[in-house]
Amino acid sequence: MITAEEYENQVFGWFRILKKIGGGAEAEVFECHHMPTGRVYVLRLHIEDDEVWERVEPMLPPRNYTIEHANARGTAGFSQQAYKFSKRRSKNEITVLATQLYGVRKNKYLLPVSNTYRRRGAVSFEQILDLPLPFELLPFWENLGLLAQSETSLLESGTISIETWRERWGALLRDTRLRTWVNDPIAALPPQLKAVVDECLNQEIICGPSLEESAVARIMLARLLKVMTKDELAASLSCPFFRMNITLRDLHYTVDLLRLYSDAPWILGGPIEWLGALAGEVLLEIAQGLSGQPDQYPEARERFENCAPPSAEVLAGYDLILQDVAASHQKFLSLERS
Amino acid sequence: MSMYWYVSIAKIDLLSQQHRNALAAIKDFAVKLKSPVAEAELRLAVPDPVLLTKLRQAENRIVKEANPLSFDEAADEDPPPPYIMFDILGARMVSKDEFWLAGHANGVALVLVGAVKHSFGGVNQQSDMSPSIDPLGAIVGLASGSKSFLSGPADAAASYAWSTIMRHNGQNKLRLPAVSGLAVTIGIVPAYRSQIRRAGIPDIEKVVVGTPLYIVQY
Repeated sequence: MITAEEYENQVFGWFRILKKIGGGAEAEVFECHHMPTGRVYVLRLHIEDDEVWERVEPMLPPRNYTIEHANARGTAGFSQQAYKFSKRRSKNEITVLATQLYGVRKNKYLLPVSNTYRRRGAVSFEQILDLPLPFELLPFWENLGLLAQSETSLLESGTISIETWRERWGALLRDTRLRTWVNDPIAALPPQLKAVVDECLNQEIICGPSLEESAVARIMLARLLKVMTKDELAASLSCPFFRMNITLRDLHYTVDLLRLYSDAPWILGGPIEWLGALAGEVLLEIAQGLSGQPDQYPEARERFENCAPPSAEVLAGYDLILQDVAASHQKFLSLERS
Repeated sequence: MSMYWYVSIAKIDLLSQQHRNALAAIKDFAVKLKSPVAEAELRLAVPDPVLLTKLRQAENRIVKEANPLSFDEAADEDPPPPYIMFDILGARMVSKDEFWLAGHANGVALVLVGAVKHSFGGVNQQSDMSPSIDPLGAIVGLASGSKSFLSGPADAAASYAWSTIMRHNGQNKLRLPAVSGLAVTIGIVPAYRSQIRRAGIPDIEKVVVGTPLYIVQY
């Protein structure tokens, strides 16, 4: 038998359960931190769930479908009624908003399960998650690996300085399958240089997606496969339900990949020859979409449309559901020009 | 020197009146449970000696006429005795209107609630009782014979109240002070496990609910 306090500070996937913030008739309530985005959600654990409480160690990841499935259905039903009500009233009337709920997928991503509105023209984050990982599919990645390999080989001769290498590749090669392209040239480096490279690549950074599983890579794939248009990309990055999954690492990847396209001198041909112009254009679209905050409902209601809430089948796919913090206005991660 | 946490002037006054039988006063207590919380008032003083004398007289009378049992023994009685005694490590929670005390012995939980105006010492105005459950309402209902309320069954509400008070004080390995006293029995309910386990204290089987006549720390 364990208590709510024993769930505090526990980590699962990309989440950390922070402190207990309440305990009502039916649930223990916690703040839950989505570490790669810095956003905080509410986690409720049903007091009647023996599998959560009759244990020696906390259940990680925890499950709360027994309480939150009904909550999600109720929230969606309420939101639909509230939407019909608001349609009958003038725009100046008060809008009633329900706190949104999100299913946790693979202990990493948050996908809405109670929403009855969406950003017009946006693609759901679930759709890009369902695409195959881009690593094998596009010559872009192979060329990126080859470029990294070539530049790493030039470190020993001093043709490329360690500072330039670090700036170009330090973040991109960390924690990724691209690393396999540079393992041999790194192993061949003199010990002192190798130590600097290893330290750079093994540096602890905040948890989040590797380059190939990042939203940036997935969006690039969706655009290059033409399953997402330029307008849909812009609308998606303006959609709060999509943007809530954009991580700090995604922002770094966007900047670092774009930097490869910059005018800095390159030894082995320009990046456009290596990586292609279209990928560079898509990266610019992504960077533009990540500048500034996404649209918010109801403030920008003209850019949103009504939609049916996720089906019972979709909801049934989630064992763990988190909520927005009521009345909180957390900023989304965004790029700013420096 | 003993330190009093709570002395119910209202109950002592009632017992001091010319009731022929102390048991007759109990129904009045139950009915009055609704009202004392409305007149919150705090006294930061030790009880007046006259009050203590009246308290001792009332206690002697109860012991003589009503044969009170320790609350953990009373848990097995049917019907429960009108008065219960306790000698426990006590957790208290004092909100704006209510004074709560919780403790346990031999697998039996005790939860007492009274009006804050009869308590002594500092008041923590922050109650951890959630508005989504109404333990006081349930306890008042229990006193009038109801078994379930808007907020759910009485056993769940009483168990919730107990675990909330215990957690409020007793978490983080805080050693609780020893207290003893006398209370009027309101009811005895089976422990509602899902609520009881929130305090992290195993093997509680029953919850004895009452309203205190007095509570003293020794």
